[in-house]
Amino acid sequence: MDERDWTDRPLAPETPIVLGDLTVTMLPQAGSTYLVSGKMDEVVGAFGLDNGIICLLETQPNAGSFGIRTGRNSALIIYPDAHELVPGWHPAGFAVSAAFETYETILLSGPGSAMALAQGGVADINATSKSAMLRFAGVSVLLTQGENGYLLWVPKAQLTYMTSFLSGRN
Amino acid sequence: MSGSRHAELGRFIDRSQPRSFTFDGQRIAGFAGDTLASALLANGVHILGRSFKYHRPRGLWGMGADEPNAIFDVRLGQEHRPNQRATTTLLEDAMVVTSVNANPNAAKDRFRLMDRLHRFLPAGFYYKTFMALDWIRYEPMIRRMAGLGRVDPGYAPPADVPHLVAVCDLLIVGAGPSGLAAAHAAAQSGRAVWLVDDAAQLGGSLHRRGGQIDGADWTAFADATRYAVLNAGGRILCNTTVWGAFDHNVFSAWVRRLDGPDQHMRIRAAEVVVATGAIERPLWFANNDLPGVMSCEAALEFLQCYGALPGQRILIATANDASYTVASALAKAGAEVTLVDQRHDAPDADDITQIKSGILTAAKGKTHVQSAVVNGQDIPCDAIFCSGGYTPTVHLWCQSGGKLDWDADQDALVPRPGTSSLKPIGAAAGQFGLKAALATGHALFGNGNGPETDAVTPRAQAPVRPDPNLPGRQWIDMQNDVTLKDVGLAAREGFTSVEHLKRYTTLGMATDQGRTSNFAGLAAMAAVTGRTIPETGTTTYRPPFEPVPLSVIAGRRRGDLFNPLKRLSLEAAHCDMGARFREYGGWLRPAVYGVGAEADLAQKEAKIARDIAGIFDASPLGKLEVIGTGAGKLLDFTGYMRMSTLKPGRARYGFMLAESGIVYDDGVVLRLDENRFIVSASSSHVDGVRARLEDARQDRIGHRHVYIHDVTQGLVTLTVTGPKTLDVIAGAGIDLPDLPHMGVVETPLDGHFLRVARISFTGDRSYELTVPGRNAEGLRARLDASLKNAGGKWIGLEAVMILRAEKGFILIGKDTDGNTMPHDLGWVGPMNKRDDEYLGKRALFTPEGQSETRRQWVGLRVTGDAVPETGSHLIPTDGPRRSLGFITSSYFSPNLGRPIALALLENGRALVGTTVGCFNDGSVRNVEVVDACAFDPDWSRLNG
Repeated sequence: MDERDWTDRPLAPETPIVLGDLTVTMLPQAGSTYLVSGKMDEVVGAFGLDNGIICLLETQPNAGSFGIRTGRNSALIIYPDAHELVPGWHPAGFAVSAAFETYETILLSGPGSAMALAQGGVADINATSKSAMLRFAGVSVLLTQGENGYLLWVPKAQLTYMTSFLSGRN
Repeated sequence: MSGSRHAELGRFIDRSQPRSFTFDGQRIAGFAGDTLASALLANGVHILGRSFKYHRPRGLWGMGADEPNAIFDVRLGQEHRPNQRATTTLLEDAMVVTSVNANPNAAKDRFRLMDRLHRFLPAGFYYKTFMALDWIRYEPMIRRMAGLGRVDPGYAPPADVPHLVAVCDLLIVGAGPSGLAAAHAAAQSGRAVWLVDDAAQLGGSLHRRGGQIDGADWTAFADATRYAVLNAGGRILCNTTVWGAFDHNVFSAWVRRLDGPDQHMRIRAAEVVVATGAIERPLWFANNDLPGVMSCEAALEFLQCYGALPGQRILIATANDASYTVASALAKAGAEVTLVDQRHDAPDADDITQIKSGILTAAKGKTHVQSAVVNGQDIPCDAIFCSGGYTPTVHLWCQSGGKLDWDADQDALVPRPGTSSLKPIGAAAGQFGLKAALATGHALFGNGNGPETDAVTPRAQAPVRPDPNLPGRQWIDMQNDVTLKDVGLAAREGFTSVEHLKRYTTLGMATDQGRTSNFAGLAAMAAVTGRTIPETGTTTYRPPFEPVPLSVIAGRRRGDLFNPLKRLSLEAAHCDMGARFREYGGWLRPAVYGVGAEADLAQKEAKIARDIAGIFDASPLGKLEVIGTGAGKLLDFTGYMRMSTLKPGRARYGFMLAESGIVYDDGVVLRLDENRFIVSASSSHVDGVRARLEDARQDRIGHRHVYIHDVTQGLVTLTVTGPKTLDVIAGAGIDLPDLPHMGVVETPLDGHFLRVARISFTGDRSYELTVPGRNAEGLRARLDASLKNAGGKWIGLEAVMILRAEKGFILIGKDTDGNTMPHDLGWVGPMNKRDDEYLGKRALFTPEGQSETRRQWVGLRVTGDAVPETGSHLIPTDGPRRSLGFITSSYFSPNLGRPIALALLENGRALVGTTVGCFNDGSVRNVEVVDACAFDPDWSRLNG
């Protein structure tokens, strides 16, 4: 049996998928990303984040470094350009790992984006949450907002599934 | 019963749009807006099904979800919808409708003789029958005869039902008079209301009963409510059934759409109002299940909404005022009506033949009603419409945790205030009549006087109960063929709890869920046991309120969207290299490369990898970073092998056990510095291992001293293996540091991150090269060119499986089962030496863990070229045949030129050197028990 015929709606940065009133666009990868856990106050200070750490559905800054909270005491730190942080344990009380391309970012734009979120989500996204992580279409993703729509941070290995899911929505 | 279509009535149908369908082969005409039930009724079709057990003829009883009898198999083009209720299925042109549980059809069912055997089919028939000897002989036949419709396995409904998460401020379930009043008041006060009803239009009982509200026809009030709701930012959802109430005010709703796939909603509501109305109870008399016996409300609904007049000579039997409206409407529509009221002080009915203090004791007729026996006298009629009162629809209330109280005035179980956050109003709260419905609805959110109506508040109804002394068979559950005598029998046999009664007699089960039968069952049980109804109690209300198609509940997560696979970063490159993919541990990975038989390709790849070199994509292996001052302690507790003693720059193989001592996962742990480890979990166990680590981190070790980061998907790992590994890596321009076996180092490659780990899953010298995803293609291309120069080959997972099996390396889940402990695999050191606590430790020392008959991990040597089947049982070569274990992995080894096999064998290590039988598909061949490692037993190649 040849099992190549799985869900196949790959997404490339230069070719958005237009699905009726929804456009799915893959954004270029950030310069560098890190997973951090521990004392978040220390993280912000130690890393000199330009824009602090944002939460569920908060708007991502256009420029500068920022974090997306992934849990009570954890975050994904994003630098637009290459940036070197020392992975491992920091005596100030936090842990750092280079996340590399663990997440890909896709932009959901157009009038259908809210309905797309409603079809994939399981939680009330309007309820305030410190953490931007939620289950979407069965996958743990981060959800924030950009200028032009919702931003889903999707685990890289599940990006093709995610675009297939979005392609088949009603 | 002779049906006909009234010339003018029928607010739901559009006579300009004729429709037709077939029922049991008979062509039936109807109109757009008809349900199957209304069209059949108007065409005088009175036998719509056969009863579950006795195969008695059954007709319509109800008008909606309360209908227990008319359940159809519906086909429309390629589409197949089993078990559709006639009362809730809209007529569509060219539908092919057939009755269920009948052969060849409902009218001519050849199993109707079963009814004559009813004395031998009492309550508890199945329990009693299947205890008898040789039950297995007749069980298949009984199973075929029982049940309702059958699923067509050849039809797969499209996976197109979206699941929507919705949030609303105020959810009002039910758009009858009380729901409308509540929605109107709430919307006018600025609340965003979601008004939901399972009917196609707002109004509920107003459609059939009519009424004046605020001095105008009720439709004006409904229109005003619609406008107010939408204007305040709310939403109107018709054709929508709220079928379940769950924790935290989450409600499931099935939205039936005509212009597209249905929708399934999970609605989170801040506040919920239940205006679900009430369901009319039957009366209990002999033969009360005959076609032609129908609920009064249903008869009125079919007349007013569909213009279907269900009879010409109608007898109405009641004990309440509400039925008088029905009698009047039927008479006005041209039927000859006789009204029989049990009450001696019944109000006078103008222009209608009326019998006060009349007791209906039996219906007569063979396949439909021909007469009724009232006070001992036969009254000819072709339909009997009856009303035994009303039961509030409290399903959602009870599903949300609400309790019930007995209201003697209303003769019903009603919601007990304060036991649920839901707010019941109108008939659902036991407040019957239009005036009460409007008042209770308005009072929730409005100020001052609510909508005015001139409707008369109905008097309390006279209680009506089943009479066990009445001769004949009285049906209390028509869907499940439960009679009043069955309840008595159940009580005599000791099943006096209502929950036991339900299960013993099947009362209130199946798609009906007791909507029309539960009250009678409770009342009858109360009567025969000398208890009150409150003392007797109720059964549990569980979702769904009415049957919901599984395709709606499953939604779109089916087929290739069910359990979606993870995809490799280098998938496109593997495709270009000719990879053929399979699923391994939740990832789509190359099985083999090239064209030809897969088994042959795998053999070739395994041979080249041993002779020269091979590269495989090992990216799915877990990369869980465990960081912090407590990292060593955490890994010591969660692992079978101690990891805190590992030196930085080194790696160690280990197991993670379940609390039961069973091997949950294996893998290598790498220590990068004093406080930083990487757990390389199996591809399929990354999430599970992380969860177990997280449990221990939070509950035992202290969450401020250690953290876990999963970076598996951000990195790509390519493993180079084989005797020419060093040549391949050097040829790719990678300067390898001098690493011992199980050594690890992070070193830059062209300025980018590169981690090199000398770890082997093949037994040959191997290096895992790990780079960020964005640098993966560069690494692949360099290695690929060098590999070709060396004469090596990319190898898929099938070849890797052969290589690891040659060396006796286990694959958790394939070579282990739900009983395998680490000492069964030969790893006894930690168990004997560690005196600290670790996950699963205590289970290892239980009598079961220490048993001498445990199945142990061994290899098997087979003569001949035939590869034994994986799963073959191992048996003694002499004596009684029994299973000593089974083969877990089996391959032909291209490097040994013979089959190899691995097995779990009872006391296997003690049997090394002996022979056991290998049983498969009726034949037995002898195999020799050997050490699991078949290739390079002195491990010389690992450093070669």
